[in-house]
Amino acid sequence: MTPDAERRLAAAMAWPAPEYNDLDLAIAQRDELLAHIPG
Amino acid sequence: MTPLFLGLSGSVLTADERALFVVADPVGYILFKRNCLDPAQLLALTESLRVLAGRDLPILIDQEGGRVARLQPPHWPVFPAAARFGALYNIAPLTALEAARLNGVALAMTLRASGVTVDCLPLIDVRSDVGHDIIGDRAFASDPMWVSAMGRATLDGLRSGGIVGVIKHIPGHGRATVDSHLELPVVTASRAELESDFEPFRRLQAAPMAMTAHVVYTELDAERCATLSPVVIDVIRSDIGFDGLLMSDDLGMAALGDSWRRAATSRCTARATSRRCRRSLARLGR
Repeated sequence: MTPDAERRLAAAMAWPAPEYNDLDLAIAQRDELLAHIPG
Repeated sequence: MTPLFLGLSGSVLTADERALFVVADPVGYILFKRNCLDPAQLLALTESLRVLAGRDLPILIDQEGGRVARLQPPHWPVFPAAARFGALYNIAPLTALEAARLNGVALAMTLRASGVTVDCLPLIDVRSDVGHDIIGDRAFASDPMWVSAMGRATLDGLRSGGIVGVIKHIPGHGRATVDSHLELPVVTASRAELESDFEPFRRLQAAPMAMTAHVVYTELDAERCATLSPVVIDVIRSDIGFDGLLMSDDLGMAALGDSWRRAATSRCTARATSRRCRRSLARLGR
């Protein structure tokens, strides 16, 4: 790994803290919006 | 660390793989359908990889939705193809953006529960009428601005759910008329025409990771595909302005021929000396 690649990897892997914890709710809200597609 | 993401043969780590991975010390791993049976098994597998490495690891997967889904029912939810968000954007753009964001959130929660930390998504290739169906409904739309907006919403959703996103296939796969899994695509579009393919990648240049296209762009480099071309990599870094972690698409795809698979194998071979490791490498190199 080059130093640049290591720097970029470290930056990419700075895991963001998850802000959500309800999978079923996210899917239900998404599907409610997708239901607006005609047909 | 060896700058490779390695794949695994099955649903558990084999003794040969353990021996190989300890010495090969890859940056991380990428999972395929053969590795994913159910959430409990997958969590155990990802934990075993982290224990083996002795550190946290990027563990990648291609969970796009639609026909590209390593995690499948009945154990995991169905996720829609990107084109469905494009269809909604056509009549209600803000609604489509929120749907794409929520989809990213749902994908992220699904993946995190099994220890996966990077999704090779969003695909922000611009769909083209002449392009091969390997992109097709995996693309959001044929308008670069629409693609940019829905790509950003998906990336934001993934981040909100705690998953790192990968924009692909930089600098744009939409015009490819053949499947790069099977042969090398050659795109002869002019530089001016390519600008519309570059646009979503330029707008999402702050993404943490990007995956290159195994596509030749004759206007940029007639000899080498983007993955192998210093000229195209310079366009990606300087013109498109992407400064995150740049990774290749699968080295085993036919577009690259056998030479790069052999090169990756020899990179591991340099570290692996035991008979057990060599047996594993022989399988990886098949």
